[in-house]
Amino acid sequence: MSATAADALLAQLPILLVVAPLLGAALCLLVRDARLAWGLAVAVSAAALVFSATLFARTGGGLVLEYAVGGWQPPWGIAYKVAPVNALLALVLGAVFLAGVVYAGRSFRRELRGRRLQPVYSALLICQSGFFGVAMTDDLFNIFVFLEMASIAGYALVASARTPRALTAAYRYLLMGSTGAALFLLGIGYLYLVTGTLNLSDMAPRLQPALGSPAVVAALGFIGAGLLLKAALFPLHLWLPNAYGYAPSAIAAVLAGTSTKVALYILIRLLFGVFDAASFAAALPDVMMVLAPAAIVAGSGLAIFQRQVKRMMAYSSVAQIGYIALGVALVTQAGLTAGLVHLFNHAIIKVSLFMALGCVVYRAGDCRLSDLAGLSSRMPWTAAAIVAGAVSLVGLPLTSGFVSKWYLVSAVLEANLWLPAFVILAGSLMSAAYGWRLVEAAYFRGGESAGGAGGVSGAGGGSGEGGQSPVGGEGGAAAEDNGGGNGKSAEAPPVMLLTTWALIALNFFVGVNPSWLTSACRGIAATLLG
Amino acid sequence: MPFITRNPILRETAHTLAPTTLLYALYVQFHGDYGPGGGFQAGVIFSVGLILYALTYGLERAQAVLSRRTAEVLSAFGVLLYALTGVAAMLRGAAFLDYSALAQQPLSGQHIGIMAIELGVGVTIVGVVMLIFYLLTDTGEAG
Repeated sequence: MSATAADALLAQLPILLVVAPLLGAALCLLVRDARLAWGLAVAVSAAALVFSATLFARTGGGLVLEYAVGGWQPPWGIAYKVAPVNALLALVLGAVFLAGVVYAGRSFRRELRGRRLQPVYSALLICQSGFFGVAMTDDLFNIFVFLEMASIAGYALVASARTPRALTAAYRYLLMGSTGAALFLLGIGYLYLVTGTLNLSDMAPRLQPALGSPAVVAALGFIGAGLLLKAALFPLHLWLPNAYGYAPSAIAAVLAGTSTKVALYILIRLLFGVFDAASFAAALPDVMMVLAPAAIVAGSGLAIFQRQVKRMMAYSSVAQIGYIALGVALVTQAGLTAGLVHLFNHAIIKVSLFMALGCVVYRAGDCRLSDLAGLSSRMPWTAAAIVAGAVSLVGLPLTSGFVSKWYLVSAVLEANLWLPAFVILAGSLMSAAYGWRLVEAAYFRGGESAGGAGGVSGAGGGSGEGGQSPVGGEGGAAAEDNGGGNGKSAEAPPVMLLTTWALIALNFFVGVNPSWLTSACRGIAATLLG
Repeated sequence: MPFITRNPILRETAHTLAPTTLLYALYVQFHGDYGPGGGFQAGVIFSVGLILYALTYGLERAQAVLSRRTAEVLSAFGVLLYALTGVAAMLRGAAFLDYSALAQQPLSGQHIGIMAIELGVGVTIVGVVMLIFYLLTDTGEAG
């Protein structure tokens, strides 16, 4: 009896991932207390992570879950279909959103002071619902609708910061995101015109005889351009640095881990699942093969010269998207595996970094390089978190970044492409350069500005004492760097540090024990390449 | 004098049209499953009636009818109604939004289901359109 109940629940998980955040979003608007709204958002996100982890575990065993929404059978109705590739994206989304929402509780109260927070949590949950929808659905138009649902919530979330710069950044994000969406929709229209179906599993065989027709070529062009714009692949990245740089820290963290990843996921699904990436659609990977190394060099290069650290990390994201795109553009088993592995790893790394920067913003009000001065004594755990993130971006051994780079470099060399391999290594060196700027500011530039900042943190202190104890497990390496800092430490609230370090722990866990992730990604790549 | 416009033609037209528009919106809402219409259209028409009222009688009186908070609650309530209709079908062992499971007879279940979700759509649209209208007419004191 209970076994059947569990099976019935498992069968409903794909839709629950979408419906639970949506219900939460509506309830958030109704409650009067902002903390209650936060509690609701945390509960919903925690449930979503449990659901997505369950799906990841179950589909790993070869199970493919299908779900006909409203009882309408595919290909007529909207069908959800959860294979390992869907479950992998859902797992990334679940982890990032739970961490982001938990973290947002204290971060919003400081950064969005004076603003009603219920609508912000509501938008965050709508965004979550939309992204989960993209991950679950097997219907192309449904993907578009969910992507826009999440994107529009994302524009609003960026604009929720209280600065004029955030408003212009959100407006630019809106214009470029909508342009991308319009191109994507045009492409979907052409595919529908040719095949008469929107169901992805149904579309692939129907498209096969029509490959090469002008309408399908147009569809490939529009979809490629639209999704690369949404994925912010250089030089279509112009919306990204300001949107991440000026959004509230928790929002920047969540969006950095989700929005571009979801666009890349759709691109991968369509490129390999619908278009024939190896022959007909080879033009798109060829374009990406040129843009991806350019993204790595330009993104890392621009990151080095940023003074505002959140913008630095945003440019770093532009480079990291290049790594993922490079793996995908190889159109080989190894390349796609590397791309998927880095999609997961970069989400975890960059979210933890933005969260650590949010801890700096919490105390210092901003996070320019000068705000990091003396950070190692003021906020030892935050400083250590930034170092852990920077080290992972470089890709030192034991970090998940190393796993990504290892797989990527081997994939590139396997394809006998020496120039991209060189670019990957150069990109690592460049990320070491901007990473070092952070380390230098946090650890070796104390002096006069530390005194000034100490005054600021003294005013806002009080909750610093909890910062040390709850994280004790993970940070042995960090503790030796800042023995003297404990006395006058003015750390960020424990809950913010805890979520940051939870992601860092996950990052190192993947770095030390990557086989579960890499074997899952290898399986997905094998399926996608047929 | 409750009017904010002095133009008698505008006044009298709005005076007659606003309630008619609201009534027509309800017609479009509840005949949506027999003829053209449905929640989205009905919600927009209903909001147009309210906006016409606001344009002729002033924002304050319009907000006395439907406050900003009420509009927000409506926008959330409609989504809840829609989603919970789907969840109700799930609790009866069918797929999300499978209306046939909502009653003994599949046909009456589908009637109930489509009525409920279209009502949810309509209510949300009224709430959202009015919120947009209030935000656009906001002079900017409130956050």
